[in-house]
Amino acid sequence: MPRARRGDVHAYAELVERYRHVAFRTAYLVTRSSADAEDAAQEAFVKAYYALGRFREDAPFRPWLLRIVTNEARNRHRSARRREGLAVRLAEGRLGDAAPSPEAAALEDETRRVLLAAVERLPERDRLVIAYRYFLQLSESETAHALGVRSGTVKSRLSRALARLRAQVPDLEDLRMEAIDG
Amino acid sequence: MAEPAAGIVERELRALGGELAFPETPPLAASVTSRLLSERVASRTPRPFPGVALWTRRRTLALAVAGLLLVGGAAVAGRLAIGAVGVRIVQRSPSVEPSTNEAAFGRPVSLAEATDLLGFVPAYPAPLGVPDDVRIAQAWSGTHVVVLAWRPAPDEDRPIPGLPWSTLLMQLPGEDELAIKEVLGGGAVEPAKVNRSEALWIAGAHDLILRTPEGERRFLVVSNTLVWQHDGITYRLETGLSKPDARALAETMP
Repeated sequence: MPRARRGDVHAYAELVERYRHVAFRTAYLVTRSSADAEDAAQEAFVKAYYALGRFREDAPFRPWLLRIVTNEARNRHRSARRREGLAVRLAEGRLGDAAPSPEAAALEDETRRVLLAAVERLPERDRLVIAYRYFLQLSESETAHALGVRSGTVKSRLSRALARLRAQVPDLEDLRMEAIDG
Repeated sequence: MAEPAAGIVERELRALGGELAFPETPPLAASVTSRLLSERVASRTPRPFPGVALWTRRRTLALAVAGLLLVGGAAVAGRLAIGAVGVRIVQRSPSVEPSTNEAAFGRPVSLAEATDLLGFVPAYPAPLGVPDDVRIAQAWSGTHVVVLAWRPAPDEDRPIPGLPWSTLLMQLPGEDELAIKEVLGGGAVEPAKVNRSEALWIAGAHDLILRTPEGERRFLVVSNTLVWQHDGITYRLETGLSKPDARALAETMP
């Protein structure tokens, strides 16, 4: 970071390499277009480079970067590019599963597809707070910084979004128990 | 006891996060680096370049560098020089593959043997210590050119691609043009100072042409380069360091 702050482009490239996955995925969650997400992430990294002088050295870099990424992605969200839906990897392609039966795996996939569809139906502000917290695994504070809101706002949006999800998928517990029993 | 519904939803969301099939992340580092390097010079384009080939061996370097920086993104041919190293602004990209290897820099010699052949003691930055390798080659004019090289310190620098070294210091005596740098128009060439001497900073990939008795030999340079002249010797420092760090290192030379 100190070398990048002094203008060393090659040192900055190492930062880009370290954060490119989370930056691209953040942009993709907002834009739902691979092309828009790539443009937004690239533009955000360039803007972040020029803004490094204003970045507090003792502050965490990731949420600061993701705030820039989110803003860039929102600017591109209105483009005419085709929107893509989020998809879930099928159980047989996942690592670490304790070899569930085919029926249990199918139910597990179904549970996750139902839940994902419910998340997709949420209003954007609720959908993003869920996506940042659970899909990107950001902390509450990082989520607040990236979305440009207070931590209290993240708390209240999250609480409201979870309530909506529970209302939309009331049988989630049953589906889950079937998957476990299967 | 049954888990509260809120807990189940949160747990399932976390699990879902690990199972999402995001599109493959593009390799952003290369595109970002390329944009930043090209914007460095493009941002310094207050007025158009006259468009006349510029050969400034005997002019002041400051004027030459100012002219070069006015090129900006335009592909305009231009030349300048510092001591025995000429710089050409060209309209083609550098060589595709790194073509350097140890042998390209001449035969390995001891520092004492290099001193005998050169007629002077090769200087080097004190912080680097005694060079790990010394190579000597003859240029087209019969003048000897020396290269001092340092291997990467453990867990520190990365070597220059294609070479076992992380830092190279080439020393070219006299004013005859012994080496040429070809930089793509709009590339990152900036004026610099080493102590009170005029210098050139060339960031990133460009071609280095060594003029040998057998003809010109072309190499791709992928690291940053600082070129300056002192007491009739042209120094060419090739390293992964930033401009301020490279300059600070150069200024530790006697």
